[in-house]
Amino acid sequence: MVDISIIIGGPQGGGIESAGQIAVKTFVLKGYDVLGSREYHSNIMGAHSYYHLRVKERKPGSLTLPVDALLALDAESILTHYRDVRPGGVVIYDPAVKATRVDSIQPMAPPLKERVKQDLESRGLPATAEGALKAMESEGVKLVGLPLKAMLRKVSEEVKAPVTSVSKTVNTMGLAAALYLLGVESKYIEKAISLQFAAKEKVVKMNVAAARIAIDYVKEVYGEHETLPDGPHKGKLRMIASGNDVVAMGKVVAGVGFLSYYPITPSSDEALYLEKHKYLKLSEDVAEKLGYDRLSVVALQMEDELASINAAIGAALAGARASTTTSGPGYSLMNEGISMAVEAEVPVVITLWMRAGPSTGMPTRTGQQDLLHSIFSGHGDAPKIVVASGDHVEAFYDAIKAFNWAEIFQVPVIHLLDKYLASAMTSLDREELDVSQVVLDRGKLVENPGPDYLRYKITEDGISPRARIGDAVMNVTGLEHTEDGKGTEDPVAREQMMLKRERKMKLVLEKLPDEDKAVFHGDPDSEVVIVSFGSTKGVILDAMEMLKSKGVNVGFLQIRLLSPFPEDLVADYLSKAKKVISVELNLMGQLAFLVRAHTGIKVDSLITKINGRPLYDYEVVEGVLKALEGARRVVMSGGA
Amino acid sequence: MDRDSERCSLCRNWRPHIFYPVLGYCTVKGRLTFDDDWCESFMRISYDEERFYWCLTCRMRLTSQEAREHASKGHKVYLSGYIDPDVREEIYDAF
Repeated sequence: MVDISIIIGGPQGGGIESAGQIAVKTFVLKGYDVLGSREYHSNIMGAHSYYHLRVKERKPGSLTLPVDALLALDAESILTHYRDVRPGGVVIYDPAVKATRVDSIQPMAPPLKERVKQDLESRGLPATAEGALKAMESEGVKLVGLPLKAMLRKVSEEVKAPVTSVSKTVNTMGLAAALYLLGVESKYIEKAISLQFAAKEKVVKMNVAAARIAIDYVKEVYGEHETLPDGPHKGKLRMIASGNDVVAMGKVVAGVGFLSYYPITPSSDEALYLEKHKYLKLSEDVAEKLGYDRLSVVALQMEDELASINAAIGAALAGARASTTTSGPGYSLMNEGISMAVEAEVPVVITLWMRAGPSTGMPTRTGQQDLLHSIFSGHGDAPKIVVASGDHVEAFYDAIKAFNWAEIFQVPVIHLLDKYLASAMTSLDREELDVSQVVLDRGKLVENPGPDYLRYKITEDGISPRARIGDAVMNVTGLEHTEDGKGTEDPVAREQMMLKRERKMKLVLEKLPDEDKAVFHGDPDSEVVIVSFGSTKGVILDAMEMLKSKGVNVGFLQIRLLSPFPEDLVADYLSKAKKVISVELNLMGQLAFLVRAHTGIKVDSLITKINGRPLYDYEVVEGVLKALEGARRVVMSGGA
Repeated sequence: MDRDSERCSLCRNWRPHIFYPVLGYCTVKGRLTFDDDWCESFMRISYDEERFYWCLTCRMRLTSQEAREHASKGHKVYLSGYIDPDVREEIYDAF
């Protein structure tokens, strides 16, 4: 069984992203499934960043440590990750950086420097890159030095290009060497390079030359390597996309007409994807449904998040499928608008990419700390839908469903995701994102409202006919209102409207299928049940297999609909369990809190991770084993 | 003087690549060179001028006084660093 993990580390801006993407493409071309994620610092440029990927015959649900190969493009990468490589693994590095002292690396965080120094000194090794290399060697890691300067000279001579041009091939040389040592043939690496730099012929030529020189060097110095067999998907046309990409794709399929945003990590790439793909011709059936045959998404960068939510509300009132995208700090600013959208029953979709807070926190690191924030956002009783996606495929379909639900139930829909999913790249089959399965439902949208139209007409199900602004005379206000939308403080009208808005939440629970509320994975009779939400899904599923091999049978309840909370369904699943363990990336145990508040069921143990790094499969395994021994809270801390 | 003592990495006209400092930009030639390259335009760097400098070791901008202090500690101090113009393709927004 193939299961390869790699870390490509270097200075942010030093070609790490390109190298990571080339690696992902290489393995997909070779027929494997890949999961890759970038970890980067929020200082924009220069600090350590790395690309962590995992390759398997079937889709990896998680990243893991230790890795099989570390490509260290600078001394900091060696010193940061020297404990992350398994015995028998390989590290590829430039011997020129060996003498670098940990103290001399300015961008490296002082606490990390201290930990590294202490560890190396405790092993009797110097606190230098060479000391870290020796530590790896003593644990059975193979050291492969690549003299990058000499190789750059060779590339320059071979392609007759100035050093200025070939300087951009440093990452490619290291990557090609790493991939060759892992058994990948150069033809796949070269094809991936061609795909990566498709529009730049000279860049392709230089990088291919660099890859060949690196591979030849490794062959000459370290000998020929066994070839990795082709994976099961070899020859199949496949897609590689990040979480940001698939959500943007889902919005396009849903017919989004307007997306407002203010740039913020990790949501911006979603908006940028939509800006890039803003003109699309619609298929006939979709066009008939929507009433227009060409999609032109207005993706608009606003001056701040208040403007973003308010612009999206305006677009939704005008009849567009409207959305905004942000992360925790931006969502804080949107609170007033969210409350307004609840009061005025505006169908707006808010994509909330969680990151490590509070406040600015660690902008480029992951977390699931905004669950309660999303549910309780907006002042007053502000019922809304909150749905959390577990992986790329769910994120795609949920992005579409969010628009349907917003329009059917005339409420804001919060699509809850996180930084890990945002930047995680995965291989996908076309059939996994099957547009033919998509049904667009605009709810009670009326084309000819007529003179007696009442925007907030009291109905049995709580949902009023919705006309576009301009198609009818109507009042839309944040004030409490009567059926015609005019502001009122009449006690009876107030009560009617509050109950109307509450009825819609009951309707959500009635109408949504169970699979959109909560999904049970594994044996429903399991005595031990993990409860979780969002991007921990794949990690937990991988961990369940590992636990099974240790004789521990665990079930997993993935809660997808967080508001309104599917309490009966959740209670039904959890009441049978003897032990309930919550896995979530926040310290409060926010999901555990919700479960108890809604069902009365107390979660026995919390497995959490708050260091901003992705949750790894082995951490869930360790956490579950500790929970079974009686631990109430297990805090995981893997990752650099 | 031998070529080693007049290599690019000791030259006033050289701007080290901030990530891969075996390379650097020569302001005379208008292109990247290797740190151990040599040419007749060599000018030894000094820290006497009142201007800003850039410390490769610390990756930070310095005043002339700071430059002298950093250089005396063995840091590699230059007039400036070189940033690849394509670096934007490799970095992300991070607000």
